[in-house]
Amino acid sequence: MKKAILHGTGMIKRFEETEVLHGIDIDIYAGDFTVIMGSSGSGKSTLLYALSGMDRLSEGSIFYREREITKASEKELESLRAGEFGFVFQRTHLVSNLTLEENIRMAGLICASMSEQETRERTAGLIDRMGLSGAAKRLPSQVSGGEAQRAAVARALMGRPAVLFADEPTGALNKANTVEVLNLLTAAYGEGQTVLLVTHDREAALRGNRILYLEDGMVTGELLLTPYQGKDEVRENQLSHWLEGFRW
Amino acid sequence: MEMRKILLLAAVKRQKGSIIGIFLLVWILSACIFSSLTLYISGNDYVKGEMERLGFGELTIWVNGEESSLTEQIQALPDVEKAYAQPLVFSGYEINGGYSDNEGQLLVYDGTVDYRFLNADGIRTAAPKITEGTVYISPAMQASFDVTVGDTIRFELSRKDGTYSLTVAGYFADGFMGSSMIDMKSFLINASDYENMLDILRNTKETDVLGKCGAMVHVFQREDSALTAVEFYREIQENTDISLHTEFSYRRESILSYMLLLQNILCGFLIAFSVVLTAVCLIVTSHSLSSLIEQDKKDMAALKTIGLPGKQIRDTYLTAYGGVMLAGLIAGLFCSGMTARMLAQGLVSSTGMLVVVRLPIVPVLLLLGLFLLLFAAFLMLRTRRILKTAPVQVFQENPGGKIVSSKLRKAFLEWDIAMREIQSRRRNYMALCLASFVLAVFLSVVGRMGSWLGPNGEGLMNAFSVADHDLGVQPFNRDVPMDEIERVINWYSPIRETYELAMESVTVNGQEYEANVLNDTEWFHLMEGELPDGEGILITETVANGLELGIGDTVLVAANGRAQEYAVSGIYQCANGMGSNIGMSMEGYSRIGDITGFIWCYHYVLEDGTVRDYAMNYLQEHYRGIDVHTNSWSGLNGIVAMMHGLIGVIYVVAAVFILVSVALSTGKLLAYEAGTMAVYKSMGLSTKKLRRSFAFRFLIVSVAGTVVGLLAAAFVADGAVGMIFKNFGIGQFHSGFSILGIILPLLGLPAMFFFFAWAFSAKLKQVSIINLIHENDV
Repeated sequence: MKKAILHGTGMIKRFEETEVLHGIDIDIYAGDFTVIMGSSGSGKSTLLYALSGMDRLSEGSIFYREREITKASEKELESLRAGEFGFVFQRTHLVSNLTLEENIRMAGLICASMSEQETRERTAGLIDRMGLSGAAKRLPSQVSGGEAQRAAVARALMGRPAVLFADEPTGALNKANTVEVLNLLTAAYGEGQTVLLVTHDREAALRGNRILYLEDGMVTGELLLTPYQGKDEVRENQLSHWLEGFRW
Repeated sequence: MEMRKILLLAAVKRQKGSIIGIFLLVWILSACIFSSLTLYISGNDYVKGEMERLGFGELTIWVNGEESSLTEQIQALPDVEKAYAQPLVFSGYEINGGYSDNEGQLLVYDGTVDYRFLNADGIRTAAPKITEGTVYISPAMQASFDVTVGDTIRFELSRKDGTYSLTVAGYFADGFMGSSMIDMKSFLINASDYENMLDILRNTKETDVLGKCGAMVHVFQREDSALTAVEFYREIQENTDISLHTEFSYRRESILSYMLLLQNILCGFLIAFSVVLTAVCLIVTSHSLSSLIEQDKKDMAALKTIGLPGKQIRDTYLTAYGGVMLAGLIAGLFCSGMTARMLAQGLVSSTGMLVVVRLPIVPVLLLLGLFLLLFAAFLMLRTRRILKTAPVQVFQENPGGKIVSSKLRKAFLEWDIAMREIQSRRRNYMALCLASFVLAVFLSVVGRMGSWLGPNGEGLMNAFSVADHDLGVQPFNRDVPMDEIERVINWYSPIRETYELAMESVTVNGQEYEANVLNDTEWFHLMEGELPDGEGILITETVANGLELGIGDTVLVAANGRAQEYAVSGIYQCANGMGSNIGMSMEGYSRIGDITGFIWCYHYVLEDGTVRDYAMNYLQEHYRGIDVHTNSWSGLNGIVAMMHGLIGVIYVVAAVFILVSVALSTGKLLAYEAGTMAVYKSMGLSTKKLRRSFAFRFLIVSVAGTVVGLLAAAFVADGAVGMIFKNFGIGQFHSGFSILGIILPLLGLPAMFFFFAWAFSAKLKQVSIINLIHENDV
């Protein structure tokens, strides 16, 4: 039986009078590529940020490796973000006055468990792996959207996070760049990285092995797929059929 | 119109932090400049008015008798409008164990001269009826003698039981001698006490008499008289017997200079400070406005695409910022009356006069107009960008940027991030750097002046004295046992050095000055040229400018009816009498004056100068026929307190200015960098570290500005202060290393920038990463 690395129970999130999450119970398993799908406004990003401890719940609890993070102090959450979690956002959110190499290295410098030497070596490795050698010394404003997002993925992976959270990472990219970024996430998953991806893109969702559907702040469906091995019609049909059930 | 209203309201709502900050800056600036202007003009007008009201003419001569006949003689001169005498008694006095260095003058108050009376707080009170046994004093004596109502003043009229005690009943505004710059003080007494004093003086043997009768002779020059002030005085001297009875004399301009000296110094510094505040205000507003335009440019572009002209958008900014600046100016102007009144009241203990503050309408309106023009021109200049911005350019704009190669080290990450931010966004920090530079220069100048002044006014003591000393003893007769006195002084502290000084009245090329005669000329504070021998004299810069003299020029010096030619051998420093004095050697003076009389004051430099007051008190209590003084004067404490107060006010206002400036800058920077901050937080950089890194930027920038400012101050401070001080007879100002002038600004300014930035960055704690990221996404 798989062990949940993240466990949420009775998760409620309100923004003033509006309740966005209505008492969700959810488990995210270590080593899974979990995808959260749902229509716009369904609360999928809110769920992601709550699970990652970036946002506080109004009610309910979240446990990370059996440790309740809903009650964690800001300092403990900072430590989690520095050492345990990695984030990729829809917009790259790279620091504009740092080069891509520095943006990636910065995550290592912040991570308490990584030495400066290790940071340098891992940065070089990630740049190579992400195909960023030519752009590494450029500022985010001087590179393409795809290069910037790949750098953002590298930055998120820098501290060897236990969970990689990705919020619509391909939402602002063209098709070619979308594929590149998804390939990187898939490769990371292939190496054992736990990935939690929020998307409304069917192609992106196909990269996951577990897909959750969110409707009006509730998880209303779950689909388990075989791990992604490349283009696979059976998996695509499974997903399409499943999504039809949600009038997708 | 409706559109303009919507835009304006939206701008005000969005920029309320900036608007409040700029309002505060302009308000402080306005209060500072208008209150200094008001006090300066009111003070000058009031003191001039008081001089006239209290009956001072173009010339006032203090005589030691024969005032009736002298007045008649003066009155008969063709250029004299009128002359009258105000009888008085000269007497030394003792209050609370402290002895006066100079004689006081006791005047009868019978209501003929309309003196103004004050309470202990310097507030005007009704004219009292002075009863027998009571005395009214200048409030300036509160600082010099720590005297309050109910204390007893003992006037020493005669050696043998000739002390006449009066109880202090209140205070009055002394027309001339109220100022702390003048050691001599006036006392208002009852007519019976005055008669009693005259009786004591009449019935005391000449050898025992200490006090003396005299008068102030007020002389008014005819309006159609063509004589200059010097010529007018010379005419009186040459055609009357006045010189035989003159104790001292002052022209109206000299009296005004003395009375207004402290107030003018205060106003001068406040006006200089206002100029600095104006510069800082414009720098900070400029930065705030630029950041705002940068932040709002997408909105502006959007408005332009729907057809709103750039001019109308610009007008919104001009109205919002111009309006708040105008409001700040008006609010400051309203406060300035109150501030000026408070300053005037605070100055009473130093100047002895409560200046009635009246807003000078025309100068205030002119200055207000000038500021409005300055602000309008500044805002027009700073908002030009709005007109030039093309919508498409904004939408397609790539933030670009230059690659900066500064280090990023794990151990110094917060510092390195701060350095990177500064290097890559230099323009954003230039304003703060400039503000800290300007403040550093000014605070260093003020601090250097404070250090020079010293905790006890040592700077002023040395500037105003002929030569440095701890203790001076002048015997008035042969009976004074100087050997014994020196043994007493030695008992308090070994005497390191001694020399003799005489201060005698002379004329130089016909103009009256005081000659400081030293037996050892090495003690003169020589600034330029050579020390004088028997054929030369030293002059101050004031004399040099007044008589248009230079080193090598020949002058005619006269005293006691004898005149000799001397060469100006050098320029020296002595601010006594506003610099109206010359220096001579004993040998030189002997050519025109008698050096065998009791004119010499023995000056002692002690091994331990701190005991000088104890030694002085002992000698004053145990020996008669001597005048004992330190290198100080009774009003010095008041002046020092005023100057220290002024420095304190400047520091406080500077701190408030830094607070508001930092608040404005942090607000803009935090709004601009919200997304970046969120990203750093999402990577696990703690809020504490982010705040520290943010504050480090202000520290780094302010250290840079401060260091450059202090270097600049090192070059300009002495010259700038020296230039101001020259007007007051202090020809030389040197400031070396000092805690107030260098260390305090060096540590204080960056510390304030750092601390305030750190405090305002607390906002980072409250905002969630999600909100920041979403804000940035919009």
